[in-house]
Amino acid sequence: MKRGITLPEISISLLIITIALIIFFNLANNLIYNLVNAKKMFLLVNANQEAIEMLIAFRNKNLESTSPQDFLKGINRGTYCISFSTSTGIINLNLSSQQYCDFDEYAQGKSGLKILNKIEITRNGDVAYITSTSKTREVILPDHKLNIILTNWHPYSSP
Amino acid sequence: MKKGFTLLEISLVILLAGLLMIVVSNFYLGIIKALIIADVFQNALENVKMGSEKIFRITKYGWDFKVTSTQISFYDRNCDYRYLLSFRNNNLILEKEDVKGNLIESEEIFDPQIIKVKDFRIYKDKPLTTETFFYFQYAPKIIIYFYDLELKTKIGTSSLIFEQGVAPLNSVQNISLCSL
Repeated sequence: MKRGITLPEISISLLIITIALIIFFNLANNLIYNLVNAKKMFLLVNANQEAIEMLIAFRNKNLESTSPQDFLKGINRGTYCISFSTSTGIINLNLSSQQYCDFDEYAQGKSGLKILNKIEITRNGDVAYITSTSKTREVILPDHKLNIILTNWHPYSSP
Repeated sequence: MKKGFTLLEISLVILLAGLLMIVVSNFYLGIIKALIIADVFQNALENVKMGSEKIFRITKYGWDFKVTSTQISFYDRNCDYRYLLSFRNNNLILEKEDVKGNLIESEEIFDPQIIKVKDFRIYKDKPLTTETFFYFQYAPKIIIYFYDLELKTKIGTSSLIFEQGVAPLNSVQNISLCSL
């Protein structure tokens, strides 16, 4: 009697081995993927928080003016870029022609990772609804958003 | 009827099993290595979050800021202590002094075993007026911390560069609580 292994037997054993290897490979791959994304998510959250803090400071700067001013210096509905000049110490909030702006301070050296940010503002009188959105240049993670409502609590009245 | 296996068959089976073991163990060791690296990296990232969150929190409620490019000092929310945060020995050192200037405690913000601070800079806005009658006229409205960190893992390092903006809450007050 000739004994041996049939083709289905070989196929099934190869399938089982392949599945086991794929599972192992996937585990390792997911681990590295999550690792890289944890760092990116930290940067996104931080970028949004920084943008919101700059907006609060932008509003608070009005207190230093010697004459009454609009609480958001005439900023109305639109998409804006926010940045801080380290040389002049001025917070710049400019209308953005493109949707997102570079957050250059977050450039991660050799890896080339870049964080982009945009500020969307809607105003209703003395209340401003603001959304800061950050994302990576290579869109891997979903956009991260942070909302804030700023009001004119300033004792000066609008001009 | 011929029964059993030949030497060639057994050798082939052992060879195949050996090859399979090598491939599988390589994958397994790779996963273990990745797990160890992930654990160290995760710890380092958590340490960065904790450290930067602490700096954010104490700055947010601070009073009377004195800022240079690499160090900042300010009073705590109740004006009981003065904090001094400085960049020294590849780490950030937070010192806490009482109102008489006696050092109460000194701590490293980041764990030096897993994080190296390569660069740290502090920026602040400039007041729009030269008047200093009210606290809000000269208090900084925004303080920016720039971090250039190196996260150490067992197989190498990973760079982490970011900024942290803080708009101090008390900078809109008329009078500094600490000057009363």
